[in-house]
This record gives sequence, structure tokens and C-alpha cells, in this order.
Amino acid sequence: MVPAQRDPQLLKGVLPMLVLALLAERESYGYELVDRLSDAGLVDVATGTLYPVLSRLERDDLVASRLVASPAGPARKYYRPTPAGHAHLTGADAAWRDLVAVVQHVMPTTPAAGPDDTQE
Amino acid sequence: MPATVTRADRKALRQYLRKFSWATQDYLRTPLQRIRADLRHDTLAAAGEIGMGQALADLGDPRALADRFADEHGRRGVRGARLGVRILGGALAVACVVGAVIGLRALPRVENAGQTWTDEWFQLDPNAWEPTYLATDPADGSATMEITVRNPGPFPETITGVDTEVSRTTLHPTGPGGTIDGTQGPAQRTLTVPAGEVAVLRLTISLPCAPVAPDTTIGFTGTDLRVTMIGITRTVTVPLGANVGLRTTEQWEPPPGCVPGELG
Repeated sequence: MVPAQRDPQLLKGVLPMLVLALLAERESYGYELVDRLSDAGLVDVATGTLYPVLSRLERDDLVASRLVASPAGPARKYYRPTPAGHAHLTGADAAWRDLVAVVQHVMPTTPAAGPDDTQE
Repeated sequence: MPATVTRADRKALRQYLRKFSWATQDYLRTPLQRIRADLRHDTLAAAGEIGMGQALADLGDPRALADRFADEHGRRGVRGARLGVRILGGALAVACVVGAVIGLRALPRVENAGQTWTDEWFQLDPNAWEPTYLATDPADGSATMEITVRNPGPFPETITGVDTEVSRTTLHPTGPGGTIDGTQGPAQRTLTVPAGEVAVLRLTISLPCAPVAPDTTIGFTGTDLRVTMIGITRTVTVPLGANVGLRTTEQWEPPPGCVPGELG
């Protein structure tokens, strides 16, 4: 099955929430987080997309970071949600589910083709 | 398998970060240094796993990355507008400096506050189109006039006369009323005049230490002074208030041992 082309704007809207969700599950450093997102199906998220999001989440005190020594190269900067980040994730999750419910409610009633396509 | 980060890798990262910094410096609200440090640290860490080439490739174009950071962190303003403000500010600063320099250079000045034809040889020439005082065939080849000069301020000025081959200047401290007062001190070559005060300048015009043909007139309309105010020195020409001349109707032969400007 060929995956549908993903709208970058949709991804941009949900990426902070997904990052928070993954970090809530387990703290990670940037590159590891890219791998985890890729494993989850978001193969088109690179560090160039992730780092600005992580940076903003940290600036907004939604995630905190700590340096952990690594046997291979420099210390890794591990991120985890702050209490405010957890609260934000809860709110974002509720808002997302609400949006999905609305979308799912609307989508089945939308014709697959436009009116012009049905005319002879 | 961990990858080794080489010196060339670090150089490549520095170049990338330089481009990134250039692309962000004008409009990123969050301090660039912190973002740059995080980016450097995270990229080095990633390069340790996948190699610097792939780590930089994953970051993408530095300008696009700068845009994404700006999207997340907020922009300070339109780059062009900020650049315009900088250019305008720079131009204003330059204009202020140039104006200040020009203003300061024009600051040292003196005014003519009146003159006196102290020498009996000076006579108003009735045939001249403009007010002209002529000293004709003075006895010792020279004639002297006095000019009261005023320092208009706002700082004290040091005034020095500028002599020529046919003129010599002395400066005299003045007493009450702005007239020469011997009790205030002897004539000087250089005199400091407080702001708003006056001094009297004696200008002696002489025939030169060289032969002069009959019916020759040496004329002046002003005299030069070297004026120093707050360390800035400028040569100022003080108008004499009339045309002034020294005329000889006979062949002039200078006396033996003649010193230019010091006849009489």
C-alpha cells in the first residue's frame, strides 16, 4: 500500500504534541526522538524539523533537559516533559480527540467527487 | 556503530552554523547563542552516531532551518525593515559626527567690535568708492590702527596675531570699557580672551623691506588671527571695517637692517 502524501502543515500542527507524548513515555535525546518518530511512521521528520520544535518547547518550559554522558561522542541532551508539559499534553490530547471526532463525523458525508464529475 | 567526528567534520559544522547564524540574526527573538549552542551540541552528538555528513543533511538548508526556528520562536521583525532602520541609523550617526566636526571646526571665531584710526597718518580718502583710509608717506614707513576684537563664546579663546611681510600685530589686554589699559599687562603676541570679552589688537602696516616704486599703495581689508578654542585652532580673518592702505608717493628704500613688518 502506498502511503498518502502527508501535508506538512498537518504535521506541523501535531508534531509538538507527538513529541510531548513520546517524551512522556520515555525521555530521549534529539536524534533518538527522530528515530522514534520514524519508527512510529513519521519517516519524513528529520532533525531539521525536530530541533526547532524541541527548542520552542524548552523555551516555553514544556520540556526540561539534562546532559547524559555518552560512551560514543559528546554527552546527549535528554528531554522530558515538565509538569506544565504534561498538562499541556493532556489538553492537546483532548483537543486532538475532539478534532478527530469532528473530522470523522464530517468526512463520511463528504462526496468523494465534486458535482461536476457526476454530470454526463 | 559510532562514527568518528573529525576536524574536517567540525569545520563543516562551523560553516553550517555560521550560515545559520547569518540567516537568523536579524529576526530570531530567542537569544541566538543558546539556540546555536544547542544545535552544535545536538549535531555533534548525532554525528557521533551517523556521521557529520548525514547529520548536516538531516538539518537541511541552514536558511530553511533558520526559518523553522523563527516560525517556532517568533520573529522580531522583517529583515529588510530592520536592515533599513540600521542603514538609516548609521547614516544619521555619520551625519551627526560630520556635523559635530564641522560645527566644532567653525567654532573658534572673533568679531570686530570697532576700530580706531590711531595714527594721524590715516585719512579718509574722499575719492574712493568705498570707505578707505590711507596713510600716505608716513614718516617711518608705517602706520598703526586699533581693532577691538570680541570673543563671542561660548568658551575662552587664545588669539595670536598672524604677521606678514608688511604687517605686524600685537594684542593688548583691556580694562573697563574695552580700552587698552596698561595696568592689565603689556602688549602680547598671544592673548587669552574669556567668552564675551574683548581685547584690542594693534595692527601696524609697514612698507616692505624692499624698494617700492612711487605711487604704490599696500591695501588691507582684514587681518588674520589664529584662534584656538577648546583645542581647535582656526585662522580667522577679522574685517577692518574699511579699506586700509599705506601709500608712498616717492620711491621707497628700506633702511639698513630692515626687519619685515617691524618698521617704525
